This record gives sequence, structure tokens and C-alpha cells, in this order.
Amino acid sequence: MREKKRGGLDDSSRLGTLLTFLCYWFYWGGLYGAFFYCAQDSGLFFWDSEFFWNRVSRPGGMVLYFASFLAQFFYYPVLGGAILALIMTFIRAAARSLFEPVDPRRRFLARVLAAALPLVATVASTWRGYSVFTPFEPDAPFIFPTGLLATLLVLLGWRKVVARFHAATSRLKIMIPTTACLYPLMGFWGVLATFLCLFFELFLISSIPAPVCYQVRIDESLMDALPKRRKMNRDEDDGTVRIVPKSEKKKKRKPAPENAELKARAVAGRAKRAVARGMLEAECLVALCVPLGWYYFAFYRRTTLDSILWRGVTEPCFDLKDAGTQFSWNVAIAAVVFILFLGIGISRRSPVKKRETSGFFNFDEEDEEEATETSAKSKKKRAALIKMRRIFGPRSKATVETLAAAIAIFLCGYGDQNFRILCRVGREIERENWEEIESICGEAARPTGAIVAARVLALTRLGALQDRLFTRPIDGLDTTTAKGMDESLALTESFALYHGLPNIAAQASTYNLVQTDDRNARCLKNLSRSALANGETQLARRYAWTLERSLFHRGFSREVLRAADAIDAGEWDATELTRSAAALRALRPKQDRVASGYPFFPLLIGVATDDWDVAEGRAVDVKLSTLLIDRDLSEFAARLEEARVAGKIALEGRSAPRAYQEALLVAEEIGATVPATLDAAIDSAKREEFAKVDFTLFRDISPAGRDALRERNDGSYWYYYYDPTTNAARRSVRKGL
Amino acid sequence: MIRLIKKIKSLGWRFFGLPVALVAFWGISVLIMPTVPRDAVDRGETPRLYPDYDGCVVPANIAPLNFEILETEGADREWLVEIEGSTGEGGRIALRGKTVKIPTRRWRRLLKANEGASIVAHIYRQGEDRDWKARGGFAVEVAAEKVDRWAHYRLIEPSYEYGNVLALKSRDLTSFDERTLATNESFGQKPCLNCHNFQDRDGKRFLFHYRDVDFPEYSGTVFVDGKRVEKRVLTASDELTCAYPAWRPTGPFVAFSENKTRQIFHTVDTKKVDVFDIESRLAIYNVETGELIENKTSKDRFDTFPSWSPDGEYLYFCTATVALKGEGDDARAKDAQARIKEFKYDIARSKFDATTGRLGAPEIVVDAASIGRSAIHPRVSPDGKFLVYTQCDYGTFPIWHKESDLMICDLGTGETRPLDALNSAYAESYHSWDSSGRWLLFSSRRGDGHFTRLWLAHVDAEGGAAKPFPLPQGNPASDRTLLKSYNVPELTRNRPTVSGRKLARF
Repeated sequence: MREKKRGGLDDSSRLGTLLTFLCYWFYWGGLYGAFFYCAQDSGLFFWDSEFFWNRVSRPGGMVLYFASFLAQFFYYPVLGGAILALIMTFIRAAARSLFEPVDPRRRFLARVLAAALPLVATVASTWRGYSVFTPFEPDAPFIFPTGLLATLLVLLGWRKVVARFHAATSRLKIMIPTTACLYPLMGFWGVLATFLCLFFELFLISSIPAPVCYQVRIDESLMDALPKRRKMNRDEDDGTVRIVPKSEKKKKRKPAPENAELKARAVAGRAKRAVARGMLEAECLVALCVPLGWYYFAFYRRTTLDSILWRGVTEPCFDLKDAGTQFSWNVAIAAVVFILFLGIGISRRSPVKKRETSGFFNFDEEDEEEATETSAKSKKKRAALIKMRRIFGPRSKATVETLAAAIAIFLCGYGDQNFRILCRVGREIERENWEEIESICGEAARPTGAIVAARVLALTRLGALQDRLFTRPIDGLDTTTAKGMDESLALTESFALYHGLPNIAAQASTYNLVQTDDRNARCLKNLSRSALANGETQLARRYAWTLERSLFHRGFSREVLRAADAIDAGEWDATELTRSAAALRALRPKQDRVASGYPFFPLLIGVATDDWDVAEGRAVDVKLSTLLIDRDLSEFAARLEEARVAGKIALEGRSAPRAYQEALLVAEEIGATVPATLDAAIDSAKREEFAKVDFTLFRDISPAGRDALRERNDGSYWYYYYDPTTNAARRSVRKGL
Repeated sequence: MIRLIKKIKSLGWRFFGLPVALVAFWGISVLIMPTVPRDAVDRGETPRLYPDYDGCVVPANIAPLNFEILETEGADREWLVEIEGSTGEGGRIALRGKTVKIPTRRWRRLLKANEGASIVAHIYRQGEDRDWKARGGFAVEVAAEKVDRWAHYRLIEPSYEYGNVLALKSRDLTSFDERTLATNESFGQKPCLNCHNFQDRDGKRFLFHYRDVDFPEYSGTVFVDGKRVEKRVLTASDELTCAYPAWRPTGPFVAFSENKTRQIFHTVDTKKVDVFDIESRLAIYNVETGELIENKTSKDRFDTFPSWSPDGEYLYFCTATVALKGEGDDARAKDAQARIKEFKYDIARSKFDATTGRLGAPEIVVDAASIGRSAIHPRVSPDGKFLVYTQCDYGTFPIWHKESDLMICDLGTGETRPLDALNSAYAESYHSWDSSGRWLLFSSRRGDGHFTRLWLAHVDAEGGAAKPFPLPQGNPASDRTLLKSYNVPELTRNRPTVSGRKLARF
């Protein structure tokens, strides 16, 4: 009896598909939702012809366009995550249908590869990592999944072509125009698809049997008993089996030739000879050279140097090393997939013995026994295979496969905690949720400079710099705040904006904006805020009009338009945005300063810290905190007294902020000059607490000793002052502030 | 009859299909063509329009004046615009919708029939009672003079510290055809692409610079003569750079200013950016011999922005004298930054000796410094009667100065006056005469104070200017959302014949 054929989606496939979808949905929409929200904020999708042609007029334009289209849905990460998870599921399904028919003995490898390919897409997207804050191509995280799916679909199409045209010359005729079309549409992915076609030609084609159709004729009564989908079953090994009732009139099909096997051998032999003559190599060369030449000289002359689509593939994570990631799971997973891919094609390079011709063969029930006669050897193998299938049933296999994928996703997603923190911080800054930002930053075990910078911003906005600055994560800082700011232009924009420097925020935003073809929603929002703070309402409207073209950012753009109208009418208290603009306006420095070169960071620091004569409010706190970080306690005490006398800090009749009190106590301890008038600013409880500190313990710099000290003195200035591990960081932090 | 039908059937739709489709299309077009309500009631309210063309004088060959109705009320189909000439000739154009895109052919017919007269646009809106209400409109005067057909400009980001894609564009003013002459992407590493200049408004002879400080091999000056393109590296002495060019109307001479430029950024001021020189002087470059004759002067004297008189006899330029303290560029830059408001430029001119290629002694034409102002961008009208320049409080970078205005100087009498019709509360800056001397193309930030747009104005024989209008756009909304500035607009009679692809090879 012929082995029972399977067809369509069986239970294991359904379960695997569902689990795959859920895994990726959880990953894209949940774990990394904040990151992808940031990514969509860095690029806008417009429904207009100008945008369409702008994208399509470069190699791979359709992939770019589609990636931009998908990216916008991450405005709602759950929705975007569902869409991308669907793409991942399609990738898996496409890979399975592509590789599974290869050879039953290599099916396991094929299935692992099918499970791994969506992982690669996930990895490549996450590779973009920190780049969402310094975007050159905001849609890059979405390009890889889209491009990979397109490539697999092309390969599936190619499989069909292979099935139809056995002659190499026929395939050559098809391959050239196809590739020529693919390159403008898919860019790098078109070239990749061509290379994979070549791979198929060289290594796999001989092992892919042509789909042979068998028609099995059975009794009418048996037909009713069969489930509907069983009437047209498919077997990856032997082709398609169509079950028809005996009563049905026989179609005029090519009868099964008596010498079918001989003919099949002849065709396979011809194919082998073609390979030997180097026909396929020539075919692939021509297929690559002709369209590329055509593309370069005739059509897309200006963009052939554009490596935009390579970026998602080749760039490593921006701060992979410094961000606390111990091991690059990304690289590891990619390497495993590559090996698997090679494993399918090369490890068993010996071609399958028989290559069958396509055709339509009719069998009656009586013929079945004869048709399924196999040698004793193959029977033995088949029995072993069935036994294996029983042991590793389809359900358990699907579950294991999906679980492996889920674990890999988890590792990949949680490999870089700092990155996720920064993404969340970016989102919360937009919402001006400063308490939450401080809390998120506190989760970092080994914070980056950007995280410290974000925390300092949050503390400044909360007016809590003097109380909480020296709590974690500022100690143990391993990168500088200044570097952190450079890493994240998004933070620079926020810093400038929320320190009352709308011009500098606008410069930073423009700097970012021009790198993304004017499609950066975050920059446009910050530019609108800056313009409103400057009272430039018409300018704010212009940015809002641009945002208005986007599907999901219209809410903000309409708020801006309302705010601009209100400001024109002199109603600064009308909306939340106008109130925010008024607050920023009040924070602006009293006098204009200029800076040359790239002004963002030095100017920001200068305005925030240097001008004692004009410094007020937050700037005074920032300045004093800088002196504390620098451990210049004499200067700190003198400046604090100066600020008290000038009325910039109210200390009369109440205690100073926590860090100030602790710093004054340390200053007294080390013999620095502290004005007597400041004694009243120190609580008696604080003095008692300080008196109990055993400073001899600070000489122990072993990790265990440090942990014990931190536990006992956490967040105190004296811990910061005496802890030797903070020495290296302090100067850079001072720069950062 | 039956036989005829059978015959047609036998010939099939292949033969008759197209004519039948065309007739059907025409019929449907006639049926859905908007009908102009003759009995519309005038409510006397003019809707907000963008751009505002009312009362402008337009050239007889200008592109359709497309515009938007900015009212939020009513759906698109409820608005109707009827455009006709005051002579009654040239037909009528009726269009539905808030975005009014006028068909080019019909517009040209209307313009031609109404040269020297005016064109009026009537706006109607259908109310809830289905009756049409007249909602005002606008009228433009069509001048008999045509404007030079091609405008060339650079599209750049309004922030000067980083440029991504800089494009040198050519725009046909009689249509919406915009061609990219060169982009910095064409030159490999995205260098800066700047300062194009045409010889005597001839689109075939021009030059522009491109430079990349990190990749000197991607720097140079491109000279274009017809289809011949040549890259040259102009080397000035003392580490100065050949910057702002002016190609003499006749002969092989190009005047350059050689500059050492710095830029600064303001924290509070709405000026935001300032650009200044720490050293600048003039030089004459002979295109044929490749000789660069530098007009070396004292370091305290700053000469820049050269511009030729129409006959090429005089070179006009901006000049200021500021004694910067300190030795070395950094010290001078620091001093210049602190004293930037002391840079007050006058407009002077020097006689040019074509035989030696040297400049004579300068004579002041516009003494702006004496009134505490700075005069920039001198441009003499083609008839040699008027000099138009930009006046601001200080410096050479008026585009970020809100107070920058266009001024006109009668070269016969020496009298100067502001071109009030062209000036606004925001910066008016770079300008260019057309070859007839009746049209002035200038850049202005009147829209929002940040993004520069191009405006065209009629100037009569006495130097009086009419109300300007922005360059019409195919999609009138595009100017509102374009986040780039138009920069260095120049008018030419003809278009460059060199292809963008050929330029890109440099």
C-alpha cells in the first residue's frame, strides 16, 4: 500500500504556526514595543505619490516602501507587533514549503532552518539597536523581515519555475528578466534571491523531484468516506495524488509511458551534463550582470552606490560592547542559521538518483500494489522513518521547535537591558513622565552615559537633583554622560528643550531630521515645541502640516495647530502644549549666547553651568551639583553661600537638600572652608547619621566590601565622595552635566 | 442596416473601440464638468487662500497660479472656482475643489488673450440649501513683459551645520517642470554643493562649487560651457577659499571673493545662525588661462559678494573695515564672534581693466555703515539704472536677520529707498534680475521666518515694484510642507544643455 499522504496544514503545522505567531507577537509588541515605537517615530509614512516615488526611485524601493508602511503601525506596538509577527509566520511557512520537499532525510535541518529564519530577521532588526536614536534610515528595523519574506517568495516562485522548465536554457531565459525586475524592486534582496536561486541550481535542484501527478481511481462508495481535502493530497516525496471516482470519465492525459523511468533518467542525465558544461554558472552570471548593467546605465543611475539595504544586515549593534551585553546572541544565531543553510545544501551534495519527468499518470486501485513496490532497502529506511515519526510525533516536534525559537528570542531580546531601558526612557520623555524615567533608569545594573544623562534630566525636571543625584546609577558609571548625550541625539534634543534652549533643541532636531528625509516624527514634534516656545507660531504650523500627512500623528499636529492659534490670540494658558511652551519660554536664558561649530552639547553645558551671574533656578542646582561631582567642596560651600545671599536658594529657617547637607558635613570633615551661616542648614539627624559612619571601611575596595558599604550608605554623598570607584567617572560626569 | 451592424461586428471592437471610447469619455467629461452658477448670491466673505495672489502683477508667460482654499468648512465638491479674463477672451476655466490646479494649456490661452489686462478668479460655495453662494475671489494683472523662463536655485536645509541631500535645481517658470541639475549625492560623499553663477543669464555657461572638508578629492569648481564640463581646483593663497562667484557678462573673467568663513549659533535670538568672515578679499579668475589674480588688501578690510555691472566695466562688491585683534584664525574668529555687530558693509565698485585683469580703486556707492546698517548682495539692473541690495543691521548673512529688507538705489541720482512693496516683517535676501529688467526674483522668509521661498515681483521703469507673488507650484500645498529652503535664485533665458548625468561624473 502507498504510504498515507499528508496534505495542507496538519495539526502540528497549525500548532507550530500559532505558537510562532504568539512568540513573535510577544517579542515585537511586548518586550521590544518601546524600541519599535521609537523606530516608527523616526520615520513617517505618507500616503502621497511624492513619497511613493521617492522611495521607489532607488534600488529596493518597494521593500523600503513596504517597510515604511509597516513601520507606522508601531505607533500602537501591539498592532505593529501583530503585523510583524504575521510576517514572521509567513517567513517560517515559506521556508518550510521551500525546504521540506528537498529530502526526507534532511527534513529536520529544513525545519530548524525554517524556525531560525524569522529569528534572523528579528536579530537583524534588533541589530539596529541604538540607531533608533541616531537614525540614518529609520525603516531599517523593518526592512529585513520584509526583504527576507520577499526573497523567500521569489524562491518559491523559482521552485515553481524549476518544476515547469527542466531545461537549463529555459530557466536562463526566465531568470534574466526576473532578476532585472527584482533589483529595482528589491535591491539587495533581489540580488540575494538570485544568489539563492543559484544555490538551488547548484546544490538542490537535482534532489528536488519534479511534481509527478498520479490519479488514483477508486470506488464511488469509498469516495464519500474520504474527507474532502483528502481528495487532492500532496506528498513531498512523490508528487501529487488525485483521488477520483472510478465512474468519472478519464481525462485525456498523457498516459503513463511504459518507459517512464528510462525517460526520467535521460532527462536527469541531460541536466547533469548541462551543469557539467557550466551552463548554470553562465546562466547565473548573465542573470546578475545584465540587469545590473541595465539598471546602472539606463535607469537608476544615481543610486547604485546606495548601500541603504545593507545597513540592516551588516551594522553591528551601536553600543553592543559598552551596553552591558555579555555575548552577542545575534551573531551566534546568524552563524547557526548559516551553518544550517549550508548543511541542507552541501553536506549531502550527492544528487538523488532519479529525476522524474513531469506528467500525469493514471492508476487504478489494482495498480497500486505494483506502483508502490520498492526495494527491500528502501522499505527498511521507510520503516525507520515511520518509527522516528512515532517517537517524535508532529505535535512534540512543533512544540520543541517553537520553544527553541522562543528561548532564542528571549535571549536575544534580553541580551541588552540598557538598550531596552533607553527605548523606554525615550518614550517616557515624550510623555514628560519624569518620575517614571527616574525609576526606569534605576533598573540599569550597569548604566550607560545616555541612561545617566536621562536620569539627570529627569531629576532636574523634578527639582530633585540635590536630593537624589548621588543615588544609583551615577556611581559605578562606566561611560560618560557626555558620551551618552552624543550617543543619543534624541536625548540632546530633550535636554536642550527641557533646559529652556529651544534654539539648540531645534538645531539638534534639524540635524536629526535631515538624515531621515524630513520624516522624523520625534524631531518634528520637538521642532514644533521649540517653535511654540519661541513664539514662532507659523513655523510650528508648518511642522504640524507635515505631521498631518502621517496617519497616526495627526492628534499631535492638531494640538499644535490649536496651540498656535491660542498663542496668536495671546492665550498662553489655553492648552497643555501652550502651557508647556510658556514654561519653556520662561526657562530661556536671559541673555543670548553664541557658540561655533556643532553647538549642541558644549553650549548646553555652558548655559546650564557656567553663567553664575545669570544662572537661576535649575541652572544653580546643576552648577552646585557639578561641583559636588567634581568633589570641589570649598568652591561648593562658597557658591552655596553666594547663592543663599543672592536669594537664588532659600535656606533660611529650613534644612538644605540632602546632598548639600551631606556635602557640607564631608567638607567640615576634610577641613574645607565652610561659612558658619550654612551650619544651620544641616539637620541634627543628619549629623548623627554622619557621625556613625566608619570611614575606615572605605579603604576596603573588594567587591564584597563595596557592596556592603553601598547597602549601608546607599545614595549618600559621603559614599560617593569616599568610594574610589567613582574617581574615574567624576570628571567625565562633570563634563556631562 | 442589419448588414451594416453585422459588418461592424465582423470588423470587431478592435477597429471601432477607440473612437467609441473617446466619444464616451468626452461625453462623460461634458456631463460632469462643473457648472458655473450665474445666480449665485455674494456673501461678501473672501475665503483664506494660499498663496494670496490678489493684486499681483504676473508675467505673460507664468505657469498656472494654482492655489488652495484654506477653509475647513464644506467638502471639496462644494467649492467651485471660475477663472476668466477681463477682456472676455481666452475662455473660462471652472474647477471644483479646495485645491485648485489649473490646466496648463487653458491657462496659457487665457494669459495670451489677456496680456496687459487682468485675470479674475471667482470662488463659490454650495450651501446646505444646495444654492451657490459667491465667496469673493481675486484678480491678477497680466503684464505685457515676459519673464526669463528658467530659474535656478539650491534646495537646502535651513540649518547650516549639516546637509544631507543638497540639490541644484532648474525650474521652468512657464510650467511646473523642475529638473535636478546636480545633487551632492552625485559627487560620491555628499559634499557641500554651493554658489552657482551664470554668465549673463545664459543657462549654458555656469559654474558651481562642491567641497568636502574630509575628502579633498571630492572638492572643486565645476565650469560648464554648453555640454563641456570641466572641474578645476582653484587655489587661493593664505588658506582662503574661492567662494562667492560672479561671471563677467563678457569675456573669460570670473570674479570671486576669497573667504575664511565661520558660523555661530544663537541660544535665544530668533536669528539662530550667523555666518561671518575672519578674512575676505576679491580675486579675478581668467577661465581661459587659469590665472587667479588676487586683489590683496589689508586683513582689516573685508571685501565680498562681487557682482558685475551689465557692461562688465565695474565690479560691485560689499566692503567693511574691522580691525580684528589677535593673531591666528582662532583668535580672530573669537574676536569677530564677540564683535559681530561691528561688521557693517558698504557697497563699493571698482573699475575693471580687462587687459590686465585687475581692479581699480574702490569707490563707495551705498554708504550703509554711516547709518549703522549693512548693505549686502548688490545687483545692478540690466539697463544699468538701478542697484538692488539687501540691507540689515550687521554682517553678511541677512537671511537669518528678520530686519533684512530689499533696497533700491538709483545709480543716476544716488538716491536709495526701500522696496516697500516687496518687504515684509521677515527677511528678504538674495535677489536676481531677469534679462528684461522688469522682473525681480527674490528669496523671502515671510511665510514663517524660517524656510525661504522664492517670490517674483514686477519692477517698472521708474524702479517701482508691484505686489510680489510666490513661484506657482503644481501642488500648491507643497510649498507649505516642504522642509527645505530655496537658496541663491538666479534667472536665465535658456536652460542648461548639460545633462545631470554628465555633471554627476565629477
